[in-house]
Amino acid sequence: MAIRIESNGLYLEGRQIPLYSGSVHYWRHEPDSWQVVLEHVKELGFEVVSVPIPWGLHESGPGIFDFGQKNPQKGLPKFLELCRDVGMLVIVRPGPIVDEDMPYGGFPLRVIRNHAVWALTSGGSPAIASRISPPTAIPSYASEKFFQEIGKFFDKLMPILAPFQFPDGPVILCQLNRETAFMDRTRAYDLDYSPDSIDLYRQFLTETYGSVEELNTVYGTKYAAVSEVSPPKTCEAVVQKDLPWHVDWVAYKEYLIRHFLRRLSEMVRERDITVPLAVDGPAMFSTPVDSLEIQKELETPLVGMEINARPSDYPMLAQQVRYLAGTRRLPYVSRFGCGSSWLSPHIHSPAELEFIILCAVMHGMAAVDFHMLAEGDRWVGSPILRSGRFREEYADLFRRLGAFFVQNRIWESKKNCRTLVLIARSLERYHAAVSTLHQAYLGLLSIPSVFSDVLSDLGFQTDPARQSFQEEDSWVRGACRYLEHAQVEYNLADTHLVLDELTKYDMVFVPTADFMDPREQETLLEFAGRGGHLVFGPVLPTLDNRLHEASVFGGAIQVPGTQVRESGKITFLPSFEEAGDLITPDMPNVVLLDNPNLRLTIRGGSTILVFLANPTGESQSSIMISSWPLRGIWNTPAADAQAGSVTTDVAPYSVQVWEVMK
Amino acid sequence: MIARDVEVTDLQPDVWRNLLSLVDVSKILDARPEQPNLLSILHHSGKVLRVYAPPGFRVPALEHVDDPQELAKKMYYQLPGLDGVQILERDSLVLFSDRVQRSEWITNDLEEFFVNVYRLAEQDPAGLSFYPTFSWKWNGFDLEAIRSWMASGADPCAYFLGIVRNAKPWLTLILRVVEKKVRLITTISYLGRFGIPVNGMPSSPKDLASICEAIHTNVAPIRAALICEYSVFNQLLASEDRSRDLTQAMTDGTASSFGLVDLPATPRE
Repeated sequence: MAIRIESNGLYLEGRQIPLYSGSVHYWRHEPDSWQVVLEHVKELGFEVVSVPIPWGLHESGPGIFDFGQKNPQKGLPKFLELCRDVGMLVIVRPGPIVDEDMPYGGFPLRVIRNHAVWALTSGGSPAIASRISPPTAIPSYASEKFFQEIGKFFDKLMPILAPFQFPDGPVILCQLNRETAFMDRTRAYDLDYSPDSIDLYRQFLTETYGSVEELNTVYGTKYAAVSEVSPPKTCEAVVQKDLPWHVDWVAYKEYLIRHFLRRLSEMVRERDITVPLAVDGPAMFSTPVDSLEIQKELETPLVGMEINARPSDYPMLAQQVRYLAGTRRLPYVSRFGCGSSWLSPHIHSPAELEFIILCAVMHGMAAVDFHMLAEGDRWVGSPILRSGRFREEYADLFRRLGAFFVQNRIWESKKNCRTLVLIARSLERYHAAVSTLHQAYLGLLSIPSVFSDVLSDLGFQTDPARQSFQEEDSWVRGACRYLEHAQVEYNLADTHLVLDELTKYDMVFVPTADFMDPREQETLLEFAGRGGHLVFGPVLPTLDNRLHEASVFGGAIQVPGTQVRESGKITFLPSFEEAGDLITPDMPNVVLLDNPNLRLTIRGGSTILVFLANPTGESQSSIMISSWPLRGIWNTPAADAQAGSVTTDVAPYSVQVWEVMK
Repeated sequence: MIARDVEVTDLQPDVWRNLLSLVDVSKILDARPEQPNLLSILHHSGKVLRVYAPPGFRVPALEHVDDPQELAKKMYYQLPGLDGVQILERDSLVLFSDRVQRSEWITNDLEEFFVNVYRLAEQDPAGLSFYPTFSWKWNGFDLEAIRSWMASGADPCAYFLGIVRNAKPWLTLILRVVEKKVRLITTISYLGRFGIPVNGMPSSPKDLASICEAIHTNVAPIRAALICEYSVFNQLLASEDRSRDLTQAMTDGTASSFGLVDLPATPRE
């Protein structure tokens, strides 16, 4: 293939280009200003532009489409020609869900008001997305009618896009959909109970169990056929035996998302789109999104994640990017808010934007698409105005960042990271399954979140729900705090990460409960056997995910403590209060700090760069101890190389970058 | 009030930031105070399932709910300092969510669907009991008063709010209303499209008034405008009936009650 995706970007016929792009909404600019907008995008250091294509914009009536024939502002082919002429590469984003602050999520109203297209709630009502621009029915990812309608749109659109594909044209990627997590309606029993979804659920059960007899064995039921099984509509689990039925519904929602994306990818491929595919994903760590499986299913590492953060959101931003870095070959932020929504309670200043962009880079972002690089509707603070002129204070930031990234070959470097924290899929599914009051709009009544907890005691040695990554007091969040305190940078990933990826790390932390997939346990033991250090807790798993007895870790270690396993070791750690010093002396960063409020990561490539972030609202001072001289290259007080130790003051919510003069 | 396809464009970041410091634009309704001290009781056909009291409040043991409205009122007065009490029947919550999503979502106004959510919540007092009831305000403004005032003007028309702070323009907000709905929300940057210099913005209240001429010519005839000092506008926000005072001050057009500037003659309905 002429286009290859590697960990440092795209290779176009062998030429490496970073995936560093920004979106332009052609329909929101006068065609007369398109050229100047694109030239300005280029001037800010971008070689790639992303182009959402809202279905509802182009469909003016059933089967009637306008791609500029009537309204020049909808002239997509002209815009793509201009991209080619200006020398910009293009990511096309044909949806079908684009959102982009378009009425009804960018769908034609004709399509989205059709009952056969709707995702249904457990009460049978359409699921109405609680967005206020304006509310819209959420389409079902299983709806055959929806796929038929998408097909009609793609029949018109893809013949326009196909001739523009690289190497004949500028289109290098086709990015499917937006977000793909039920428009934020991710709670287990909220949706989708539409007839097509129920059929797909039964198909999922058949694929999972093979036969109704096997399903009956696990569920403790007497169904004559899988077609008799109905999904749970709230958590009714009273005893452990009730769990698989609930957890399967949660797992099905992951399957439903994959099914939708696979169907979309097939539809695109059938219509002669041959460039690599990408997917825009939500800012989620776990169920119902399974980014590892989506990558496998679509044969693309470009399963992105959306990030919209304020400086005070630093802890969450860092976790999001660590998760991207741990689960994707090319950690791609597919929608990085470049400014703010008009309804956002916070409007970024250029300095704040600089902080969050550099924080994402320091934690491992390797590819990015900036949302609304050129400002369209309902947005504030883009570097390029709707008229095509620069908004100077913001444009200046992007000019400086673009030059800095190129000069220091940022996109060719990788974050140094030898430690991984795993998020247990089985625990996250359990957490989702054992909850109630999932109905939408209850939040507007300020209902306490504790009302969603199910209080049944299902007889486990530790409550599995308390061990979810979403719970502040969980073992896995304790692992993150432990590493941060020790100034050890880590990545996050899922427990079903393959062995080849695990062995890239020296140390892996994994949370456990009474139940855990035996295959995952075996893979983790293999990781330890090959020289890694596996740390797990708080309990020893004794059951598999279907709650049959199975003790894989138990065959290797029985009591808390550390044991050698071939060339590696295993630590069973019930609590981080007993952790002591798990970090071996060679593991901390080559540069050390004496201020725990600061965060430090290192990116290595042709040069070694030290990123030092102050994620607090107060100025922070620290001594940096390094074996090699350091030279300040971004935001640092002195640019001269200094050996041994350097004292530096870091302004509130800012990032310094130092080059290690090795 | 705000059309579903409202154009929101050419917002200057500092101006928008200043606006956000005065009002929370994203808020649909001040149904509840910020971070309310709410006592919540969840029951199923009268049997109490869960009780949540804010820190510092001790709630007497409760096993059964007979008259939820009466109980909500009683608890509210029994526990001084609470912002409100809500007694929610589990099945009624499920029904409420269902009713909301079966209601008309293809609305003409951005806020209409959400206003309707609260209306629906109030329509099942036996199942969902609130004491006191919802406030029906938007950032302290009486929502209905603002909606009717907006709908009562000439068509089309424009509104301009100019706030001056330290002798510099601090807020320059322009709205265009067509067919009784807000269809454009912007700042004076928008006027740059018409060749009006907005980079070297006028620096005095009097100069700012000249902007009204440009709005009149390029956006729509001005129905109402208010140009005042920041401190004066803050006083207005502090008034007990801010909806009345704001609409009065804007409808007067001259803002003369604040002793600042006289606007050029603009059409009134």
